[in-house]
Amino acid sequence: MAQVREGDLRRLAILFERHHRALFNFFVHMNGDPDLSDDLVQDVFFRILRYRASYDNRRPFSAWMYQIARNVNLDNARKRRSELQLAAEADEDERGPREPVSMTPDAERAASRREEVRLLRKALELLPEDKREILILSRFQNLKYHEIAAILGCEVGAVKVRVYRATRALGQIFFELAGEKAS
Amino acid sequence: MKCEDYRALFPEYWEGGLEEEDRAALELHLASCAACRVEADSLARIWQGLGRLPLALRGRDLRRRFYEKLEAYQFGVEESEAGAQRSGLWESWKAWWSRPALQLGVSAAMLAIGFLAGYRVDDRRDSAQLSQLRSEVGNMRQLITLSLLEQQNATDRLRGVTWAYRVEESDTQVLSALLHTINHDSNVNVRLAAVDAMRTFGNSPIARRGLAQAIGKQDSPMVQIALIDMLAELKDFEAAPELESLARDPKTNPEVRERAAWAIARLR
Repeated sequence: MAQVREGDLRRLAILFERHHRALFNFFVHMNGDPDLSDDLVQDVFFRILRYRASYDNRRPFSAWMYQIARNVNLDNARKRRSELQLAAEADEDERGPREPVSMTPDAERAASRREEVRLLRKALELLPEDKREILILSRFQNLKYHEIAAILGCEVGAVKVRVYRATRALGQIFFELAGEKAS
Repeated sequence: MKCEDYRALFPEYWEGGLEEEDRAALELHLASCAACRVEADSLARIWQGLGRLPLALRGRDLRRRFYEKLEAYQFGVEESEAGAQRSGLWESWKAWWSRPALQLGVSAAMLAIGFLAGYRVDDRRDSAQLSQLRSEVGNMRQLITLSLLEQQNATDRLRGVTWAYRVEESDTQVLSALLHTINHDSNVNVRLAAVDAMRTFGNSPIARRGLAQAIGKQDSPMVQIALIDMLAELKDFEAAPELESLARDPKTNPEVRERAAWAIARLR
């Protein structure tokens, strides 16, 4: 990144190749929309270009990148708030056909796993944004706790507590949706 | 330590990332505290479930759009920086000549204009001209892709990989150059990009076989996971035996094994 800052813009391609998958998944888990996430990834890399002069060499690049990604996500969420109802309806349509009444044990297991994944995704959507974000950073982005602490600007101990609390909150929503009793 | 302090260790415990001392202390606590034990069990199911959430597939255009914008941005920056110092036609020509993307764009546009002119002059010649135009543009794309893939500089090779998205699906020369890149390029990012570009050739049995065979040749778990994801995306059922032996091999990186198991489940 230091070289990009100094004007070797071609080096951004290397950063793009290294990080665009993780960023894409970050956005998809945050907003559930692959096409939109595609646009947001582009947006992050072009904010990196535009604001390259403000990059501080002493900080890890990924922390800076995710801070930009969080801002991009926030800006987009503001724009999108009115469209949320529409997205929820689309999700209902995507559930697909019902499973047949009679199934083999294997098919039953697969169906129940599918149902669990669906409920978990729904629970993740219903989770408050800050909790969803910390779960995505810790569970999907392969980031270490000290890196997450740098992104969020807090202590490592606080990250651990927040990850646990977010998991617990997700569990409560999941078990409610599944009609099971939460511990 | 209070129960809440122990519970904050759960995620690291499930990930296997706790220090030995903390792990032993947590296990001791779990053995004596029923409430924490119940919570650990129920939340472990949530944590593992999150790991099973399928990753969304990227649009085909993500990489192409990025490189086009980067090229345009870079060109704009360089032009504005150099604008004050040069005004001669020769300098502009040199700047244009150093950029294969722009060369191709302009060449293709000129060919298209030529074609359209020909079309208006003589309708009977249109299908012959169309096929000639296609073949010339195809050849140019192939040439640019192959030459960029052979460059010393990793960034140029990455651009070569991006050009591979524009060649015809039947272009076996680019297909084999991409497979060579996946198996032998020294740069992980170039290899990752080449794996993605293989989507263009997804219908080719040679491409699928090449992808499956490449997994065992990789030293980078990231590239292995990208290959597994691509095989799962292409629904390559014939890759299942390779994936199964990968998932069973204790020498394989644990994340790669987990991803292989996920892909096998997806292919079934």
